[in-house]
Amino acid sequence: MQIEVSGDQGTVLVAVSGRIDAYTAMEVEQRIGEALVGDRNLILDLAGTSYISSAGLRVLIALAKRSRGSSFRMVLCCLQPDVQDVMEIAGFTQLFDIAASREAAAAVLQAG
Amino acid sequence: MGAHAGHTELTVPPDAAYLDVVGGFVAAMARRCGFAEREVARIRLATDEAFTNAVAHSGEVGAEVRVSCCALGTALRVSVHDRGPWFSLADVEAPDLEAPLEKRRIGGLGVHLMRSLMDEVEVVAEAGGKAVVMVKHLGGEERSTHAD
Repeated sequence: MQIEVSGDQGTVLVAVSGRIDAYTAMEVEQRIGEALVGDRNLILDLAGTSYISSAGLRVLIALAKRSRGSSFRMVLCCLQPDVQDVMEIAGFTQLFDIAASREAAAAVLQAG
Repeated sequence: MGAHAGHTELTVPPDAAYLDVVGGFVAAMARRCGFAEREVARIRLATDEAFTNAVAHSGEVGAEVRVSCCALGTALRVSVHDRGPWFSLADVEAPDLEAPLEKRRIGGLGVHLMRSLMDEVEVVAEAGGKAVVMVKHLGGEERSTHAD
């Protein structure tokens, strides 16, 4: 599992590659939390995330709740079909802004 | 489906670090049974959930977890055996998938995923522990062309 963090003053881009499961979820949560210092908006790029289990879903919903309670917004993008499948089963697709690409995710954030 | 009957087991420490080992084992067995890749992924995730529960709730420190796969003709049965206490699936509250974000729990999706991804799920009490037993049936459209 790899995490890449980039972005600018207004938006942090976190790209997660590999699996988000019970073994890796804590590290994913920690790294995203570190990247969110300063309440920048978040684009979570899951193009390289091949697998997500309930442990990963727990990280996402905790992030979403944190976002709701503060001033930053978050958008997920580039979901692989298997990850999209799990998100739908868990009823998560209605809880998140989900975009097809990084550019589309940025546009969602700009639209406000 | 391949005409392979039989029972295959894997025993690992109760450690989430072995998720990829368990998942790889179950995925390989599912492919041998003829499941298409989409269903292999679903079986693998359901097993992940059961194994993660076993690791979290195993009653004895260091007690190994046993994962078994049994080809049942047109179905695959995956069982995850651990030393934790038995529990009733009926006591596990189903998540409200329509609830707004503020009312959604953080967690509690493991059993829901197992039930959604597999055709049958039950928790069976065993001497010294329990087994989460899951079955996935092959459908006509899911037959793969996987060759041995």
